[in-house]
Amino acid sequence: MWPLGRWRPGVAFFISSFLISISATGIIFIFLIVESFPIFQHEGLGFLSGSEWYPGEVYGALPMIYGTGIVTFIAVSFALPLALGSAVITSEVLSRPTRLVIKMMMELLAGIPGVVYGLLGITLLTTAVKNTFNLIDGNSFFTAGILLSIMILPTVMTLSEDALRSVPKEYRDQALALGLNRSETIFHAVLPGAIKGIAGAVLLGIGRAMGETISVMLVIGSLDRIPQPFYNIFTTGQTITSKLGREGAEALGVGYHWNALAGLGLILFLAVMGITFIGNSIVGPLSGRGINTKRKQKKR
Amino acid sequence: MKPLFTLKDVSLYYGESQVLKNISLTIDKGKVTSIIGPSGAGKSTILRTLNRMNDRIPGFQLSGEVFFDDENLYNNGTKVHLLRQNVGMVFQKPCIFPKSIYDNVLFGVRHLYSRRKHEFSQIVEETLKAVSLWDEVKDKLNQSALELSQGQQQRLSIARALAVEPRVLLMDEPTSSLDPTSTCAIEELVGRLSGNLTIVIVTHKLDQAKKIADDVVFICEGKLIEHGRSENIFSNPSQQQTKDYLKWHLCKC
Repeated sequence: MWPLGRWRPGVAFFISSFLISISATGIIFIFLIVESFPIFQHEGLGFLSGSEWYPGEVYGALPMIYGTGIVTFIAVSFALPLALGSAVITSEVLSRPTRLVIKMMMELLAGIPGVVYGLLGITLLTTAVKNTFNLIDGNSFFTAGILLSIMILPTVMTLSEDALRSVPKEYRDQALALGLNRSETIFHAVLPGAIKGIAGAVLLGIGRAMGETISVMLVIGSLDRIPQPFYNIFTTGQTITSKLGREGAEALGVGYHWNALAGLGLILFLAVMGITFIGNSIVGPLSGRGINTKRKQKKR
Repeated sequence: MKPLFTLKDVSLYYGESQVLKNISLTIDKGKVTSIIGPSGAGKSTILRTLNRMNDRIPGFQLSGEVFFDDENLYNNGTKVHLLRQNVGMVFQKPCIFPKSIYDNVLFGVRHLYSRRKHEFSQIVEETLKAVSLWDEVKDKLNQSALELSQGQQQRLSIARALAVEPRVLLMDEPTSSLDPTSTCAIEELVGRLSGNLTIVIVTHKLDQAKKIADDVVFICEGKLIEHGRSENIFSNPSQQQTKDYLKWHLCKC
């Protein structure tokens, strides 16, 4: 008799789950390549460098690539200092009960769907931006960037805080015992130990900012253009995600229009995947150590 | 001679539990004072009272007075980081930063006396020589300090504490995680450093206290049982509890 016979349904379940999960990513990737292939044949590299997009005539993705880039850049520039500052305060200064409340709120915020942020963006943020900077239209790259920074702030903050907490307590004690004051201890002993985790948190935040669709769509204005001059971020624009969101249903799954949208999807897929991959490979080994340290601290 | 540290009726609490009970004690300048006692007696707590390392533990509360020279340490005006530059500390487990040996020695100095940059390499050499580590590491100062053995790491952390030029060195069971050779090296080092430096060392090894201490403080259950010259305590203790502890390593207090 087969000694492990009664385990076989279990094994089959695990193996099939594994294969389905792995192949899902592969299938999406292959699908995007196959569906976007005709547009690269038709437009060549002009698809990446062209700035005109007229369905039925010409497809240039540069305004959308630019939009995704600049909006992500604005989001990170605003979110990073805020997230880092609040992570340091939460991890190093606040008492345990307060810290837990803050962490809970941050994790709650990180879970709010993008569309809710989008609604807030339409009503509050666009008006505020319009009035503050005296614009004709409150929808702009800047507005989308600020909205995204609010959205990624909790993720970046809470992961950075985890990274700071995972720095062994001994580092702090040692630095304090050598006569460094609190802020010197944070700068020279704690932050260097957490820098990898913080970098990973930022990369994951970038990944989320690039992929966010609905809230960006609601506040960016959706015009396919690169502003003149290119750093004028107070004009309406378009990102890859907002473009896909607006035109995905119109393209009906056939023709160059559809192929071009699939091509945009492929660009975004590769970019987000690359960044998430780098983020995970940086954070991975570190978060393991974090768990160990936490266990040790509980024992005390 | 005037004592360096004076503790007057010190009681220490973490929340509800009382860890130190009405301790009055003086520690002399330039001597090696060893604090002995069973596990959980409060040895480390007394030690950490002297450089205020207990302050951040939740529920910490202290009554009584602790003087360093004439300064009351638990006054509101005390600058804790300045105190710790004068009162260095070596922990039970060496805490080495993921940096080079050179940068580890300078970790405190670099941030405290950054204007003395030109002296840095001299400081590294002198302090590593003081802890007899120079010959072992002089060719690999720029390599990661994490590659050193546990014993070398502990000597490196002593060098790092000495580099700040403290007047007092507190040592919290510095040899408990080390092999016998490294232990001997550190015991010999303590003997050599005393005189200029006041050393307070917590240990649970009686033979170690006997070997290196000038004065011995015996603590049990947070109470000070006996304090005196090392030779008196080990040969002719006055308290029954001390006799029991020296003989059986147990105490009923």
